[in-house]
Amino acid sequence: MQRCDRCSEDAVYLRRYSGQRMCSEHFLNYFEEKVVKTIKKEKMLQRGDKVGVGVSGGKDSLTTLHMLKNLQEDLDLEVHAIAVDEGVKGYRADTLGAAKNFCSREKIPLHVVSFKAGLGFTLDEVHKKRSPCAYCGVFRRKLLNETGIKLGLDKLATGHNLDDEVQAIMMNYISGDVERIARYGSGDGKGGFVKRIKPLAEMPEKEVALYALLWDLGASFAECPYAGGTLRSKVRDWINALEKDHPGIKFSILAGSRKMQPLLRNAASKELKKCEKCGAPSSGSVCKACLLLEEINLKGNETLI
Amino acid sequence: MSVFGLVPVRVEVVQEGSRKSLRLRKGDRIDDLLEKLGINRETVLVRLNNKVCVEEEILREGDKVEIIKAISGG
Ligand code: SF4
Ligand SMILES: [Zn+2]
Ligand SMILES: [Zn+2]
Repeated sequence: MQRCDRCSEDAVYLRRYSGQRMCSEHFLNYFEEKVVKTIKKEKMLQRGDKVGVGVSGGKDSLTTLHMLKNLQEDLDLEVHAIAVDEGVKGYRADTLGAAKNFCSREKIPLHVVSFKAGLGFTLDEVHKKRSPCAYCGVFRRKLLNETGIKLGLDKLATGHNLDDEVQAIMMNYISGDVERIARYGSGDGKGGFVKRIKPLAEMPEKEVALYALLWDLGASFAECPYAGGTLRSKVRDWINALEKDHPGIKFSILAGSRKMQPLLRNAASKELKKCEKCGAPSSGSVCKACLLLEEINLKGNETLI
Repeated sequence: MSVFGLVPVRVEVVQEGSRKSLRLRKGDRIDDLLEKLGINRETVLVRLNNKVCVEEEILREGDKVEIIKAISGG
């Protein structure tokens, strides 16, 4: 068996972009130290923060929750979990089950909000007009944010990993969305948005999966039935193909985008306005969620949790 | 023994609930197996005989290789 570079245990991971081989203990140490470093560097948390974690029950959100739970005592945090049930048959039940098990095991309060209760329809019911993904993220963000405000959260953490970040960056390039590129990840937090943090933003997805597996977090590996064949999934495959031959390219894409952002911010200095309908921050006079709701023909200013 | 004098190595591959027996060349690594299956190693974790391992491990007769998807959609 291949050995860890730092001790004589069997290696569980080869970090190709640095050439290091790590045993399970050294991998877990490395992972946790790096996440904590990212949190500090980006000033994601303050002592005494009330933090909500958007959980799906997958490896990314449970790893985020696990990390924040570990930091709870040190930073005097109050940690809550929020799960959004979009109502996707044969998928969410599985992932929500994983979230519920984890939260009850770790004694973390879990708040479940559903599309059905909050918006009046499930994603399965509404996806006829557009692709389901066109609604999913927008409404999920809306419900998470509204729940965050109701709970009085200081921060809202999500499980976005390096791969998610890099995919989003490339998607924004592809659609030429300069404003989005300029604003991406700048962590809003003003007028109507709970400040968002992404503690795993610098962790490759494969490392998150390994962390969740080694800790046995009980994450669900169920896939959303709508995920296949989307542009995003093709971008994902393409980036992974590049990463295989050029280890570290995901980090270069992230770093490159961060370098460009300040320049783009000047060029795309559109101020965020308040949505006329719901008051959420928006680049237009009506926010994306309200536009979609209008299209679906439902009242969008009421949300139950 | 094959015409080229190579002794094949037989391994058991478990992937998303299905299992199959595959013949590899002597000296093939997990890397090579993934390549043959058309799987990008960046997207999976591998357990060799029930232990997570690196893709450089050389496969031996009778090994059990479990391929776990590391990336998720949605
Ligand atoms: S793939 Fe599924 S979970 Fe992801 S955005 Fe689309 S509908 Fe939502
Ligand atoms: Zn070690
Ligand atoms: Zn609105």
